[in-house]
Amino acid sequence: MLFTQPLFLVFFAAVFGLAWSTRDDRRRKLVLLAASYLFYAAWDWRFLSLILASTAVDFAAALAMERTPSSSARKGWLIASLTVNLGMLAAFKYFNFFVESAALLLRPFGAEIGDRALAIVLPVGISFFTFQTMSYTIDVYRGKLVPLTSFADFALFVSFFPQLVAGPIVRAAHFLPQLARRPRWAAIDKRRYLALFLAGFVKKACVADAVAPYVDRVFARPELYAAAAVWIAVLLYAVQIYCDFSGYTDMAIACAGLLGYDLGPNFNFPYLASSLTDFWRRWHISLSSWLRDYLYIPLGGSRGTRLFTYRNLLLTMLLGGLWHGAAWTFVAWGALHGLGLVAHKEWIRRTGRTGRTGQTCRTLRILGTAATFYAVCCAWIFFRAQSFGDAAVLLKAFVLFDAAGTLALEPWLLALFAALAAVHALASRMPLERLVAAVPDGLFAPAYGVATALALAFVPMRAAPFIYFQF
Amino acid sequence: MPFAPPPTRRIARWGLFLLGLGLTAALVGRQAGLPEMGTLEDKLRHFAVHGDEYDVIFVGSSRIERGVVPPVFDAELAARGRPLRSFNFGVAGMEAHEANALMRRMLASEPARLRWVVVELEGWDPVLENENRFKRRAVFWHDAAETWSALRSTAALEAPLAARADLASTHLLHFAARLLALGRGPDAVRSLARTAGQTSPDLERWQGFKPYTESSYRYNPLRKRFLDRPDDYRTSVRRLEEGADVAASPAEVAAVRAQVAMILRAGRRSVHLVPPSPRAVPRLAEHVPALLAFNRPRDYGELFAVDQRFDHEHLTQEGAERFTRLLAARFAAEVLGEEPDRLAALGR
Repeated sequence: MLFTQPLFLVFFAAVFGLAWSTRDDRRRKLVLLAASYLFYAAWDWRFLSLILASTAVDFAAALAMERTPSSSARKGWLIASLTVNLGMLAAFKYFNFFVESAALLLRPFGAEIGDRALAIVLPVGISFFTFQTMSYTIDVYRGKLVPLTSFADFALFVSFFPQLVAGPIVRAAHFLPQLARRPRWAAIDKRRYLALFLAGFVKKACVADAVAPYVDRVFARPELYAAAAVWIAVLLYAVQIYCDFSGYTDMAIACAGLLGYDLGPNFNFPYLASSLTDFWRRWHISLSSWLRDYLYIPLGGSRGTRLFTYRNLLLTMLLGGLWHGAAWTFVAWGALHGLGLVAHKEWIRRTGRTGRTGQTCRTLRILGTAATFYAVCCAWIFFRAQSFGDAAVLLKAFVLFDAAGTLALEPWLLALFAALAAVHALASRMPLERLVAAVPDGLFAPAYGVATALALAFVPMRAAPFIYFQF
Repeated sequence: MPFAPPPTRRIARWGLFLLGLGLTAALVGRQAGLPEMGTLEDKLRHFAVHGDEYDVIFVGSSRIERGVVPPVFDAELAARGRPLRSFNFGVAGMEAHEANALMRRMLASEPARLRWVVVELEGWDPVLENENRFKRRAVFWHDAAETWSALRSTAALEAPLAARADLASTHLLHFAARLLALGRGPDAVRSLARTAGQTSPDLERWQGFKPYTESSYRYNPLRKRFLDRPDDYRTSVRRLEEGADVAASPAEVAAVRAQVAMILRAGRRSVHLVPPSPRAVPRLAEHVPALLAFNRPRDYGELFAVDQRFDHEHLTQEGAERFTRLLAARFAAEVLGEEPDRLAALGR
């Protein structure tokens, strides 16, 4: 059930009506919990057991931590919780990757471990909900959070359907207090959320899905294409992945908002970032802040020598890459970003420039933005390519403008990219809230009708699944 | 619900929303025009200019487009003292529902001379194959009348309830997609930039008939398969000789009657045609005013001879001209010479 499909609209309308017409808050949350499980079961009901297992283990572990005075016992419960969550990830997402990598590693030494890969179906959203529950137990262990006593509330936090399959990775400290009180209809900015849903729909259905066929064509057989076509495909992939993921996020935030819950931001015009450090403050914010708080800082963060800090950055980004997918190309993507972050830290250390507004001249900022976007695009090649061989061909064309292929892509796609870039820049100056607020009350409904019809008119006839669902 | 605004305001907001949505979708749909369907756009453009010159049109699939040669048909009738002019509106892949939607559009333009609409008789299969779902063509034919007809056929299918419900919802979604001009934006934009083009000289010359090219004879994979395995074809023909027509479902009967009524309402006469092809068609003869069936290998053996076939379904150009001459002969005898009261007797 994709957010862009009519079935989801029917489902959401039913949940919305039921939730707001239920006066008792406890029942209301049970309605949302049942709806969330139904939503997940629509993908594959068998994996509901995984969510339930993860929920039960983390709920019990957090309570046990709270009730035991012994710090070693607390640690034991935390380790048990992390083992279950990471174990699920390892089994369902990384088993084949580990086996194939081990086979590759051992082959030069003459050791053959045969074909032990299993036909494992990746449960949708597993990386998201395991990270979400892990943050809960870690926060309880750290004493930052009082464990919940209501299993239903905790289960709703883990499985809340708008963010269940592709985030944002909502922190317990942000979401659980919202479950403690009944949302008020009057306090909800309905117009903003309706507009946000439509904006997300346009990004996903009208932009990401529309450019996808051109991108797919080049990334499927990159050796056939000329350098100009590779450039267009890589630029369009940058557009596709942003519009796909941030479009999903916008719709998730809007759905949650219309039900009375705030999920927090996940994107902030990432392609306008003036450095890679800035990019990670704007791209997939819920993941980057998770990695910062639960990986980078526990590794030692920047509390140590320069090399120690750089090591921590690299490790964090390598694991961040691996989080996205069980393939070495994702690790390479993380490594490139890690190296970029290290390089930026080194640049700051040597020049004293942070790249922030007021400290750097406008020209340098624009150059920084262009260079950052170019670097991000180079890294996207590894994210999207099917193999290192393909990535090498694409990178050669994208960096050196050297390609053996001759096939071209339609030149108007470049104009489309330019138009979308202009919209991205303009939208950063005119936030949606302000735009919506500028529409007079009586005009909102017909304007929304017109905008919806125009959005539907530019939807490709067949929807593609969200890219981040595979993670 | 305690949170809700007053009902009148809520209704007004919904009304305004639907008004904005509906008007915009209607504008986009109107601007976008027809979806791309093989040679159809070219033919419609030609018909828009020359529609008033034709007395007979042929509507149907590629079996019609590649099988009926209007210049030959016209010459045969002229030789019989009935100088009429005909046009071939066959389009590759056109099915019964799609043909209906197209005819409705064509007849609405009220071509002055048009008298006979010759439609290929086909089964009214409501099943939308997966690869065709939500293609522009499939969305195009889902107007209210055809969707209703497809829903009736769906209900009459011998299939589990869940499968019928799935198919019915698919038809309804296609109808909604048509109503909302789903995905037609690019066509609307393109049509703004489009200038009224010339139709191809071949189309003018052949009056809509589409002859196979030299390269088709050499490289078409269907022809290659046909020539490699002629026995498959002969088996199908034998099966046809044994009587391969299938019983019509009540939904099919209703659909074909509605089709005839639509043509009659527009002041034209309907003639149904079964081209010479070894495929099964529903038995609907008693429900149509005139039926010219050529799927009888015993009577029309020459049209089923392997050397007259391009492939399993289609005729070569020589075969098409032969078929057209036979068609013209039967048309002159059975349609032009029809008893005047036959239509009235059928009560339509």
